[in-house]
This record gives sequence, structure tokens and C-alpha cells, in this order.
Amino acid sequence: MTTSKFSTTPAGNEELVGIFSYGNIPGLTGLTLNHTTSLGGFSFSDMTELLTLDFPNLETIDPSAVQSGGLSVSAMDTVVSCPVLTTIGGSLIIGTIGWTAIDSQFPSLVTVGSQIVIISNSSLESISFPELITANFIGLVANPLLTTVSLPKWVPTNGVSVDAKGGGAGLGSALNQASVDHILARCVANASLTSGTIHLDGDACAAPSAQGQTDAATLTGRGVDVFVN
Amino acid sequence: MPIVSKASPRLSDPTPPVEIVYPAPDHGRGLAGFDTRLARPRRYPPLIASGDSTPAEVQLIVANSEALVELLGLSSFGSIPGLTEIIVNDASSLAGYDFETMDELTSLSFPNLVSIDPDNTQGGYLWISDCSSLTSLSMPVYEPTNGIDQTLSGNALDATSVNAFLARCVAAAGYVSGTIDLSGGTNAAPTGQGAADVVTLTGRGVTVSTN
Repeated sequence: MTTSKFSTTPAGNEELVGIFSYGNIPGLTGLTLNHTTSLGGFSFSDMTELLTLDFPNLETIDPSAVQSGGLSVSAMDTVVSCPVLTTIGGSLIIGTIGWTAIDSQFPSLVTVGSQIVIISNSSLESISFPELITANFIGLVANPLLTTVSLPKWVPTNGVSVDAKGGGAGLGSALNQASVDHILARCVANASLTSGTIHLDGDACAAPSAQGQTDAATLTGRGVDVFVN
Repeated sequence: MPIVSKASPRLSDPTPPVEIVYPAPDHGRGLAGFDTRLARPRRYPPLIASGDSTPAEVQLIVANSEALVELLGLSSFGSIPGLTEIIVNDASSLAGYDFETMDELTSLSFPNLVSIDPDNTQGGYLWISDCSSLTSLSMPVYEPTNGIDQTLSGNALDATSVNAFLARCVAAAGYVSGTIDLSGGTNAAPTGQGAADVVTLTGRGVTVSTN
């Protein structure tokens, strides 16, 4: 991707710059971006007429974290598909979306270099990143119906931050006991995890089970700050 | 497909975002480190609210076409390694352009660009800021849409570029409201006709800031 001169033509150079739209494109209901990679990333907001947003070939966004390129989708109900996306060097941000689940959108996502922020999604009930291994900041904020989180391969590392509480009353999520336990278990599973902050004490979050409480104590003993209901 | 464009959604705008809430953390890291660069909520409410319009005919746009480039915005929030010059060949843009903190960039030109969001359909905007080496900006046929906010602050634009940009704004007779921010960084102050153009634009109702 090293080049001294950029031009929007010929095709191919668009993989260097970011692409965005913060409103409807008249008449546009489907958007397919055929990039295999992107440095600048993608940001779409308020595209209320857009029904589908597909990245069929996208494998990486700023994989070397050169400029924190990421993917942001907000204030729209569009069906998003990133079937082969494995790496985001920057952040994945999903906000004010009408989805009930995040499951099929990112089936291959392994690494998020900066943050996963799921925020202000009033209909969202569940999140699943089946292949996710690396993501050391996960914000689950102001998702009042979000009960279920599945991160079966997630490996938190030192400095991890999980925030299901938000900034105050009503700004957290509603994780059920299984999800609270699951997050704690994933943290315990990495024996070298000795620092970080885990907030699972959102107003509507369930208390951990007995095993979850044990895991919380284990983590606290290691030096991780853990907050549960 | 109409090619149209308008004004900018920025976290730094005085009007707070309306769609996304970024609660201040009261604990630990919370969201203090939330990378907001790719989550730029609109300053204005959507012009076409969900449910207000009849379903449009499905129209699919596929990347790698010139049409796509002119509809979607182009952005970069950091340097692209080794990249010192950008030429954007679009004749028009709907969503606009947002290039920031590209410290290696020295030259940015839009040789064919006439308009950004000319019908104000989606808040298209021009934001080129904090590119510390950017001395040259060329937009020889550009005519800003009325109401558009144009931020060119924090760069190193030379007087030629500053003056030329102001001249293009004057050339757009219908540009009678909006903002032009050429302040900050090492941007040159307008000189000669450029200084006169500032007076002209201000007299029309445009807010102009320069060094």
C-alpha cells in the first residue's frame, strides 16, 4: 500500500482511503463494496433507505493498524454482511441499529485491534462473534434488551476492558447469568490475565452463578478489577 | 442516479449528536478511549426519515466504478504511508471528503470537482484539517453549495491555495451562508484579492475564519 501519489482512478486506489456516507443516497437501497482490504475503513450512518450493505470480499481493514481504520454502522437498519472479514485494525462500532442480533454479520472476525463498541441499540438481544480471539476493549452500552453474548474463542489479555454498565443508570446492557458467567470464564481461561477492568454490573445485568462468583474472585485475586451485581 | 451533496457531521460541532449517545464513563477506562473517528453522528436530523418514503426500486452499486466514488465519501484519518499527493478526479460528490491528520500529505487537488451535495440531500461536507504538511490545495472549478461548512483548518496551506479557495467561494454566487475555516496550523493569511474575498463572503453572510 505504499504509494506516493493517489488518484481516485484507476480502480484499486480506493482501498487506500476510507469510504463513508452519513445520509441516504437517493434511490440507493443496496450497496456492495468489493474491496478485499481497506486502509481507511468504512463509516455509514443515517442511510435509512439502504436495505443491504455487503462486503463479500473484504478480509481486512487496516490490518497493520497504520491509521486505525475501522468499520462503523449507525442509525440505520441495513442488513450488513461481512462473511470473510477477519481483521479490523481499528474499531468496530455498531450504534443505534435496528437489529435484534449480531450473529451472521461477522462470522469470520478474529481480530479487532482497537475497540468493539455496541451502543444504543434498542432492539438488540444477542451478540455472537464465533471466531473472535482478539479484542481488548468491548463496550456493550445502552442496549437495554441485550441479554446474550457469545465469544467462545475470545482471549482477553492484560489491560482488557469490558463495559456492560455504561456511564450510569440505564446505560448498560441486560446480560443474563449465562453471559455474565461466560465472559468471566473466558477471562479466567487465560491464566496470564492479571490486569484489566470488567464491568458486568449494568443495572439489568444478572448476578453471576456460583461458578461465576468463583471466577470473579479468581480474577480479582490476579489483579483484575471485576464488578458484578 | 442523481449526484448530489451538503454539510458536515462532526463530533466537534457545537450541536450535540442526536443519534448516538456516548456516555461519560464513571469507572475505569469505560468509554474514555472510545475511538470516535469512524462514528461521526450527523449534525442534522435525517432529511428522509425512516418510513417517510416509499420503497425505492432496488438499485445496487458495486465498487470499483466511477459512479460509486462520486456518491460515497472519501476519508482518511491518518497518514497513508508514503503518500504525499492526492488527486481526486470526481466531478461531483454526494457525501463529500474528510481528510485529517495526514501529516505526510503535501498536495491535494480536485481538478474536476464542481460540487458537493448540491441539493443538500445528505449532509455532504468538505473537511480537510490538521494535515501539517499540506501546503497546496487546488479546486479550480469548485463552487460550494449554499450552507455547506468547509473546514480547512490546521493545515499548512500557502497563500496561493488560501486565496484560490476563497475565490472559488466568491465565484459561487449562491453561496451566501455557511462557514469557511482556514484558521490554525500554519495556513497562510489571505493576501490581496483573497483578503477582499473574505470581506465579500462575510458580507454575504458566510462566516470566514483565517489566520
